[in-house]
Parts: sequence; structure tokens; C-alpha cells
Amino acid sequence: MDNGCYRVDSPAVIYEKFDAELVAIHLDTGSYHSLMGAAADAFLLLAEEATALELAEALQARYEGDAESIHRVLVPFLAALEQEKLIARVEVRKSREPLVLPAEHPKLPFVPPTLEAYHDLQSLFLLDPVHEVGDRGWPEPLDAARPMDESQA
Amino acid sequence: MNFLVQLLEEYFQEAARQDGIAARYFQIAKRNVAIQFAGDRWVADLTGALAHLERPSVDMAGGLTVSVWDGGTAPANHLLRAYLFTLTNWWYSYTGPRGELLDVHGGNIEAHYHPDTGTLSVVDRQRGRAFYWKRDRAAIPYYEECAPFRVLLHSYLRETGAHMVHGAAVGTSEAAVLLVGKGGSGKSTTALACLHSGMRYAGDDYCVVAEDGDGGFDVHSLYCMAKLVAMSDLDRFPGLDRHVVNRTLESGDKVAVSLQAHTAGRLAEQLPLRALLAPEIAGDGHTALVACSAKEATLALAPSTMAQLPFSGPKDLWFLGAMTRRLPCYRMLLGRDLQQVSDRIAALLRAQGSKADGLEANRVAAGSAR
Repeated sequence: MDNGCYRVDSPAVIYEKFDAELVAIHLDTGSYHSLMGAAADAFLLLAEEATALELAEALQARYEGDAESIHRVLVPFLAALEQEKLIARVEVRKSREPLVLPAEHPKLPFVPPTLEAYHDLQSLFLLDPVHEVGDRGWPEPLDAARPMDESQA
Repeated sequence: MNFLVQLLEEYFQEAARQDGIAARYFQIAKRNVAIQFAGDRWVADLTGALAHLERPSVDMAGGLTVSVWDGGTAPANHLLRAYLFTLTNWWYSYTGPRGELLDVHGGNIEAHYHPDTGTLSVVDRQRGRAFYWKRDRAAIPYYEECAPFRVLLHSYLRETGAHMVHGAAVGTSEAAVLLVGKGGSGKSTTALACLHSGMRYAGDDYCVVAEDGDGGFDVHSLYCMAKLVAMSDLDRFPGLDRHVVNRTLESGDKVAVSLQAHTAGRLAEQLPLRALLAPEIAGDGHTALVACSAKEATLALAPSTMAQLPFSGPKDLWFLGAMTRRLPCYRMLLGRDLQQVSDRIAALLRAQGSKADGLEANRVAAGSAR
């Protein structure tokens, strides 16, 4: 990935921050995602449009590590976000203030950002799928063969 | 007025002149809804799930009026006739990934086409008007009977500050829990176990949540239908089999049960919401409650809610996030003993209902349930 500029692909992508965690949902695919720590902060900054370099500079105000090492791990993270269609490349940039994250004293440990992606509900857009249970229904698990005893009825 | 809305209004009047109007009135989450049918063909199928909320009449100021009819008679307007013909035959060219009508959707108008049921749903939120048009007179599938008008009601209710959620609600008049999670996670069976243990029941698949004006939330009943995975599930709940709606199941179908007659007055229209539980099947062990974060609860609640409501968006996620931030949230690890499942929830509700300090109540309840 080059140093292109990206932004959160709204309105298809919506998100909500919970302290140091963030939940993002792609409304057009039904995939949903969990991001923590620096990943959540980077995602919020991407709502304003950013390159990997700009993200690294903003994150180093809050996290331990220099911009170069942070940039290095941001590149695959942005690639993962792009693969999940959570961000889109920006061809014509908008004018905005420099990205700023509230500083932390002391700085927070920098954990390389990761993206947890869930695709189990994509078919729910069209169907009402049933998960993880066998023909007898819950509480009989999918791989259970023995019948329930009378006391459970 | 939007051009499509105007044409649909005229089309409905044509159908109503021919077949007459059958009107039904409902109070849903304290909001008034009138449903007027052209003829009585679809009345029973589309109002059975709302029967517990029916009223003889309602004041329609600020309410929603839904007009229902089908394509048994073609519209007089040639433009609308051509539009509906192309939409129903080549819907994929006119709809977005969630079924929203791309040329119509936006502003105060929300429009959706569901190709499986052949239904067009259009809401004019500013005018409190909605239209539900069915392409043909083929039978309505059971899942639509279980949750009729959900696209329209979601749009209208959200506009008035009430939000549809994918979840089941059970409890007492002092405290209730919302059971959330994807299909098959155990919501319905847990809710029915609680109902059979004597608790009140506000819903199985969809409920409505609104702020109570005091920093908390109320959960309101929407549909009085329960869905179970298999016929064998009925064996665990004596008397339930008498109220099955769909006895012939096709692959993937759930068993739908009407609870209005079955519950003997324990269907609750509104309960004070005190906690969110995300059930998950834990196997042979004991049922346990484990406190979880707002983010974890949101992951259990929001995606399955929003995926099934095609007009959902940032406002819905914001509201669901507010719920999980303000309410105590738990993962509920389900064992196989249904009595223990309802006992755990009853203990949590007692703690919530008897303690003035909610945080203290949550701590005690979580501790006692483990």
C-alpha cells in the first residue's frame, strides 16, 4: 500500500466508540468489526481522511513509539480495513485541520492495531438463519446425537 | 408530496373503492397506528402478531396510517403500472443491497422492496403515511406473519424516539431483561422458559425500546409470536403446540407460535428494562451470568438488529450504544436445565427490582448468579 489517503466509507459504514474500543458495521455487506486501542483511534481519525503517515504522526502523541515504527504497522492495518471495505481511497482531498489526538501522560503502550472481522450475519440480510443447533433445536448442540431425558422437558 | 407516494395513495383509493376498507387500530410503544386494508383478504394474516396491541379506536394525531392492498387489481395510472411491473420483475436493478429503492429512498421517504414476499413498503415520515403493497395474492410466508410491517414500523418508531431491537424481553412489572443475540443463540427458548416459570413476556424476536424519561429505558411489546427452531422444542413447553401457526415446515423454517391465547394475560405491553443478556449455548454446564462490556453487548445486539431492518443506520447504532452503556450487560452461558435458566434471570431481576442503587444491584446479582 502506498501513502494514499483514505477515509471511512460512510454512509455504508457506521461505527460507535466505547472507551478504548470501537464497533463498526458495514451496512451493505452485513459484516461487523471490533477494534481496540490504537486501532480504534486510527479508525476515528480516518473518518476525517488520512494517510498512513498522518495517522502515525497523530498516534505518536498518545502512544509510545516513533512515527516511523507506528507507520510500519499501520500499513497492513489499513490494507485490512480496505479489504473489508471499511475505508475507501480518497482521490480529491478536502481541506481540514491537522489531525489531533488527545495526548496521554504518560503515553499509552502502543499495541499494533488489529481488526476483528465477523461475517456470520451476512446472510441475515436475506434470510433468518439458525446457528449452532441441531435438528432438535436448542439446547441440543449441532453434534449431539443422544436424546434429551425426560427431566429436561 | 412525493410523486410515488401520490400515485400509491391514488392506487390504494382505487382498490378501496372496489373492495371496501377494513381498518384496525393499534397502540405500539404508546404510539398510535391505524392499518387500513382494501378488502379483508390480508387482515388476519397481517394483524395476528399485533392482536395483543389492538384497540377499538385510537387518536391518529401524530400517528401512522398504513394502507395495505395487493396487485390483484392493476393501477389505473399507466406510469405507476409500468413502474410496479418493472420493479417486481427486475427489482435487482432498482434496489440497493438491503432492498432500498434507489430512486425513491431519501429525505422523508423510505422505500423498500422485498423480492421474496413481493412487498413494497413506503413510508412518508413527515406525513405519518405508509403503504404496504403486495405484488400478488400468493400466501404470506410465516416469517412475515410473525413480524408484519417491521420495515414500516421501524422507520416510524425511530422517528418518534422508539427503536426496534432484535431481542426477547421477559421480566416483572418492576424489572425486565432484554435477551439479545443472533438467531439460534437461545433467546426464544430462554424467554419461553421464563414465561413458563411465571414471568411476564414482552416479545420474542423483535421488541421496541424507548427512553423512560428518567435516564433509563422501557421495553415495549411489538409482536406476540414466538419462533422455535424445531417442532421438538414444543415438548419442553406444555400447551404451546395448540397455538402453532405453521405446522408444515420447509427447510430452514422455524416453528411459529401465537402467544396471545397461550400466555393467559402475562403478555406485557411495557416493562422497565434493567439489563441486557446475551445468551450463548454453553453445553452441559450450569447456567451462569458473566458481566460483559458495552462493546461486547453491542456486538451481540447491534449487527443482528440492523441487518434485519433495512432502514437502520447511524441513529440506530447510537441508540443501541446508549443502551449498552447505561444498562448492565451480561453474557448468559446457557446450560441445559431450563429451570436453572429462568431461576438465574429471576435472581437478577429481584436484585434489580429491590435495590435503589442500580450499580450495587448489578454487582450483587452477578455475584449471586455465578
